Amino acid sequence: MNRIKASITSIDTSGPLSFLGVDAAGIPLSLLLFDLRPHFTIGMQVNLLFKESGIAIAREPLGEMSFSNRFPATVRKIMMGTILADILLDSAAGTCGALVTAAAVRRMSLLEGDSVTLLVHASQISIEIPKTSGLPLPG
Amino acid sequence: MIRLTLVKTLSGTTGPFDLSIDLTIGQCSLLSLYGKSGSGKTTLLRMLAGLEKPDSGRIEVNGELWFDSSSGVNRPPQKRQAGMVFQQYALFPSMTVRENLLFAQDRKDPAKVDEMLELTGLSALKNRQPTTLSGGQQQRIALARAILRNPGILLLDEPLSALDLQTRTRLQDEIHAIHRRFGLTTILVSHDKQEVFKLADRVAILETGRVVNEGTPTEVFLGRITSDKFSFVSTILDIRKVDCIYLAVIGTGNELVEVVLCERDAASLKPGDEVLVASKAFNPIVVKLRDTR
Repeated sequence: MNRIKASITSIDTSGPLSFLGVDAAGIPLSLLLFDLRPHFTIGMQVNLLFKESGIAIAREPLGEMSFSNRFPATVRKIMMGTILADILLDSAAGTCGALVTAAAVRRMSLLEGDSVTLLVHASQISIEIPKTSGLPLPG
Repeated sequence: MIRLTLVKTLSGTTGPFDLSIDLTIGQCSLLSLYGKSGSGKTTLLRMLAGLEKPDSGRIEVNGELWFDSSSGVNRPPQKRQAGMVFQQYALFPSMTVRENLLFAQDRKDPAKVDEMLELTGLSALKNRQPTTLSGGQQQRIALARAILRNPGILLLDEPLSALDLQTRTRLQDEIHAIHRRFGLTTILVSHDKQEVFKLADRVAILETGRVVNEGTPTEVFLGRITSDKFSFVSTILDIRKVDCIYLAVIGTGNELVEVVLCERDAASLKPGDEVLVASKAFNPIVVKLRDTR
């Protein structure tokens, strides 16, 4: 699981559905969530959680696409399996893991040190209030 | 809505201490009281039921005053409409299941008893005597009996702790269903974190007579608030390497799920670890199993 720090910059809501804008070390990201808790407010420091299998890796130039989140990263390490590859990447927002097929790595000729763009759907990012934030819990 | 402010001096193993509670419980809410033995959980339930008298304080249930030390109000147990279920079933052994349920009603309503027997799957056992039934079945009767009294509040004092895991899980599901069906404001004393996670919308941690933390089970037990729709506390049973990833077998109650982990996850997790498994509302695929008429 990837966990990166961010702060909430905007909140749009439509009924129980919310669209949150966040800033992760200067990278603007966005995510969808239901039933916005009163704890989640603009300016709040949060952790963004997303699964390695929910990330796509792309090379520039990118065409138009529906992914809400795209940010640059550098491939640090590639662990090849027979079917899958576990790829570790460095970005300004922090280190991320991505799980893609080994075939995709071969097709893209992906190598350690390559500059790539990471793509994450807004629906795949969860947020949590970190334990260390000293949030006064009720009671 | 239940508001209570109660003080009572209790004698603990290391000397007397004050049970001092200030709690508000929302309508239709299920609040779990969680804490060590001797922290005052059962005494709190007994004071609510009128079985023990607080030294001072006030109990207000759905707008009715049950106890108020300043004005001398102290309703006797039979005037409090509190349904109680304990670890011991406390059923009349000489009466049948149906007679036990009828006996509980102030105004006899056999049709309602039969409906409750049907609802709790006890119809086939209605003419049996409780001692011929299993612990799970007896506790189901005790629960049905408590609900038949139309309680303003349901008090459950570790009702499932004497039962085996499978029966406990099944009865947890039934308590959950009954709670939703009747919308009864419920207080559940429990030692079982998974049970609290499954049933309670709020939990209050009691330590030597005081509520030291209160909130949703996730806030209180995990100290964090996540945005996830589906989350349950569970235990890692096994982690094995598959290709370049790891597959964890995670148990919750008696259900098992397999979850993909990356090497970095696997490095910090081991069998026996308690974890939160969570997913966003967007992810699960829903497939209809069969056509309904």
